[in-house]
Amino acid sequence: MRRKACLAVLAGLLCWFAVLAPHEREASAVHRAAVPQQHAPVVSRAAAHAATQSRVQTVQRLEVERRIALSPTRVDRLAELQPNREQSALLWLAEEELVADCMKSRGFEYWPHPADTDSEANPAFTRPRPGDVEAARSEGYGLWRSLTGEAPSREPPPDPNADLIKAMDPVRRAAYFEALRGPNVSPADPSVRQRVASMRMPGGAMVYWYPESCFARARSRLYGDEYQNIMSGPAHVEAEENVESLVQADGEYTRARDAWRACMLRRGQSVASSSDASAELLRDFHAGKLTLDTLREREIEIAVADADCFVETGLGPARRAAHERAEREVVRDGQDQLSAIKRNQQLALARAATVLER
Amino acid sequence: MESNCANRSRRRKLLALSCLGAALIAGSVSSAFAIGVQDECSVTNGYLTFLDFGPNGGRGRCGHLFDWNANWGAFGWSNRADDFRNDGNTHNACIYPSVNYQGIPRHLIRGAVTRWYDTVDSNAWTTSPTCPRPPAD
Repeated sequence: MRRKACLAVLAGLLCWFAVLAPHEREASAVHRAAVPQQHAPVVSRAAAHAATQSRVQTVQRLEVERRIALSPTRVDRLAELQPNREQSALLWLAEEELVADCMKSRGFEYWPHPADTDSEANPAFTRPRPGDVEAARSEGYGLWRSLTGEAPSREPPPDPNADLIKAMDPVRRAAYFEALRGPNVSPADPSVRQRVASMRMPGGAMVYWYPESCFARARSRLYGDEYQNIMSGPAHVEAEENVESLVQADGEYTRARDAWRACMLRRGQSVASSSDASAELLRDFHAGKLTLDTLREREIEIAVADADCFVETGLGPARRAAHERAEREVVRDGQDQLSAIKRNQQLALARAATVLER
Repeated sequence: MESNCANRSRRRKLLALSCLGAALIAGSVSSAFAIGVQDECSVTNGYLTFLDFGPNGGRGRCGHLFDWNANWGAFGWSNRADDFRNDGNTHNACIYPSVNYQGIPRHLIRGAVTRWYDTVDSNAWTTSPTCPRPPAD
């Protein structure tokens, strides 16, 4: 316990040195730059006042962040690691401000993009829910609709920099995008390999990016460089995957799935799961074994049986209960790592507020 | 080097498939720095760019998408793409292992590249640090 507390303090200090200290040094450099102006008394007083204010703000910010870094944090549900709409918007707006700062320092104009907070209420999420017999009768699994282009969708908001980028000559445009996203060169090229950062995701997949790009620098200033501990990082993904593995192995849920399969068989449908049924229908369609019309007919037939069996065998409640059990276990076993993610989220929110208050 | 071999337009949805030129994949594709989408597929600003590795290290096939797409099977890309790059400027990209945004997604920040073999079935865009998820069943 004591060892864990020490580790938490050490992690907090490391976080401070890695993320906050460089910014503090930048602030100090600004203060030093103000010193020669002492020859002009009026300017000097204003500069000194501004410097003092800035220093006070920096100290206050560091104090808030230090408290967050050292405060005990506990995670009870994985959903707690999902920021709410306001938090997401705050983080995005701050990130965009930092991108704009970075681009400005490289000689480019950049208009911050507004936060797109409608994602969670996306009409694309209005698919037929499992067990909804009425929806299954009219929509099936929603495959026909997605194939005929009638699936609800949404267009992303326009890019506020589009006109600016369009007006640039090709050379300037290439330089702009290099500043923003990094060189358009393969990370396999020896000339840029040293400039590439990478991270291993669960399952072995790598993610790699150019850490000197303005997108990456802004993100790093907001979230820190410890990618293991960010909300979308590998630790979070791994926790979710562990929950899903436990759900799939759960005895009660397995029995409910077996009952569902038996129910489907009684209705003449030999399928392992709803997703397998959808995948098979699509395969048959692309192989020319089904036309659009026969696909629709067939998917409604299977989806209605699926929904009936889902209700009859209690598959939904069985899955929810299995998920609950699995989540409790994963959260208990991964508490240290998950708390670190939550703490990092709180730190990022504090930094975001500071950026937007400037 | 690239020539478009197919273009398929849907309402508010676009998939541009490109046949690739002579570049051959060299070395192991599992290495972090192996040649992939970064080398084979041109940057298309505002899109999610992805590559389906060719058989036996041969030519791959590139695709570019904007908008949300609930079912990649609708344009023949179900469980097919292997390498992904977020060429978007206004959003982070999310890729999901199942249709209708189901399963545990991968969040791809702007400018980042990742590899996920033969898995992705839907994609979304977000300004949030995590991927949007449909309501739990």
